[in-house]
Amino acid sequence: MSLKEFLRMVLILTLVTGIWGGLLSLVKIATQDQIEYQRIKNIKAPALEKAINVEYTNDPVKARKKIKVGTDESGNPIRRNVFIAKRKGRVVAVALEGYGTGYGGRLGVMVAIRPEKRIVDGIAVTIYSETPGVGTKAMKSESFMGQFSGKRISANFGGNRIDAYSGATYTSEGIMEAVEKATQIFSQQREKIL
Amino acid sequence: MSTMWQEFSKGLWKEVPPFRFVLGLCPTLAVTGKVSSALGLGCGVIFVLMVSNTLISIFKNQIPGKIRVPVFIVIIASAVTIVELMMEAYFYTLFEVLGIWIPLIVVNCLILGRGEAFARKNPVHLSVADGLGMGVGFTISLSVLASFREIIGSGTWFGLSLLPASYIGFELLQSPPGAFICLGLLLALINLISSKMEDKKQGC
Amino acid sequence: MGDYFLMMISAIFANNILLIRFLGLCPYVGVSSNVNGSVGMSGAALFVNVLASAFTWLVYNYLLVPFQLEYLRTVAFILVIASLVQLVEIVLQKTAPALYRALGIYLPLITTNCMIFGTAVLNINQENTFFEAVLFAFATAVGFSLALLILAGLRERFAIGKVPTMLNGFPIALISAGLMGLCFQGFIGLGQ
Repeated sequence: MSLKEFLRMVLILTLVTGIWGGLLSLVKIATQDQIEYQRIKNIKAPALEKAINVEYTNDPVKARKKIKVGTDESGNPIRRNVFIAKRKGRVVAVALEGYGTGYGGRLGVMVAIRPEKRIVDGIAVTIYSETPGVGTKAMKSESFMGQFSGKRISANFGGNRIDAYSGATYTSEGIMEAVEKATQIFSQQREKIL
Repeated sequence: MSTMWQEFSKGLWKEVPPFRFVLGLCPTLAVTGKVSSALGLGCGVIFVLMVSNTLISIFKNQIPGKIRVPVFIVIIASAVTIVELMMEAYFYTLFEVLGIWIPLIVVNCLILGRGEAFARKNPVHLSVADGLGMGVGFTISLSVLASFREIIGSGTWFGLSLLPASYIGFELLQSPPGAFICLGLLLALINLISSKMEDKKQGC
Repeated sequence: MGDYFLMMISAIFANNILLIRFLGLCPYVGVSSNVNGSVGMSGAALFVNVLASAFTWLVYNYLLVPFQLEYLRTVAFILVIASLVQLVEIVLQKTAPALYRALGIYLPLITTNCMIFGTAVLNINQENTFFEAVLFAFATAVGFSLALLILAGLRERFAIGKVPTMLNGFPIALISAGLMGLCFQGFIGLGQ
């Protein structure tokens, strides 16, 4: 094989991979928003549907906003999605996730808030590792989960305002903690969200 | 025009993959549990096959023979990545169902095989016809096998229930070993039909 | 330790790469008609599968992830595998001619063996650690060899037995593979 032939091969292979690499990054850029939307929609849509009880006409996942909720150890901002439900162009509910600690570990709860009345609209558990049949009973219980709806967001959720599900105290407290965190974020960043 | 039709139609019966031309068997067995996933993967394969056949045919004189396989592989892998991104963006449920089988289109021997055996030696219009024919033939084959497995295995077709609710489904056909057995029987059936057709021809 | 053992059992039997996951069928149908060819193919597959899984794991976690290029996974993996096969071929030819003579003709076939690529992708999807990835690749290849050798033995018997004409060749091979798959599925309870 002559040197010239060899160089030609290297050049062609580089050219082919270069052109395709460029093309692929273009496709990636063109699709990345849609892919992110699909991923969030697939994971969060069931919880959103459960949490938001008021009627709305838009797609809350499409109308999401990213807000900064703090920084991690290395100083990078932690961002969280806030989903906004509208009817006839007016915001009727916003939903965001809060996290607490249950019996088995981290608990995530999607909390829907009605901003004009400053009350909780509804909640739904998104992430959990609770004991099946014990902690999960609390999450499925209408009477326990339903207590949050209509509660004002200004005061704390522990203590006497919510009755824990008997037999699953840790899970109940984890859910209360998560709801409280989510409502705190909303109260602090109300202007930015709306 | 007639030669283009010939190249297209040979993919539909005479050399239909994967039955006549036993190439690309792995996805044939894996995604044929449901008709919708078979059709989805088939469309992905048609796209990749068209792109690779067209490009290989256009640049056949520029690509040095010694490095043609790496160049073909880059072309195919990139086309597959495009399919992967598009499917994730616009057909998310299908993307979740097909999972690992979308990247695996890359190693589907059918695609590299057509590039190597056909597109490398033929003009563009014939290569396009060949790619389309082979792709459509592959998709139809997958759908036939999937229809059989889905209807008998669980009594549904495209997710719609066809058979009465009292039909409990022949679950074996939905499981992996059932896929092998179904494909074996289908191949035997095709052998039988084509040997009958040969007999008729000789009778004339 | 127990977890690793279970992972291996599952990869060899209950989730056999050939019969349950449907990867690597082309060589399965291609070379399984005689036992000698199958032994050569198994050796080559075992060797390349472990190497390829190790390399692709490193490429993914130390090259693609830091630069946020995960979407180029397919292109990167297939190139790594193709060049690895070439490299193995050259190195074997120079350093171990005896081994090369035994495995040589099966190496090029390996590039299009979807088992290699499939194992590499599965390693990423299952979020295996480096050690787990190598072990998984090894167990997968053992499962592949096992299924390949058993079928080759069966097919040698079919060659002298009487098989209906329409079932001759691929159909009977596929049906016997299906029946073997049923037996392998019996190990599913072990994996849990």
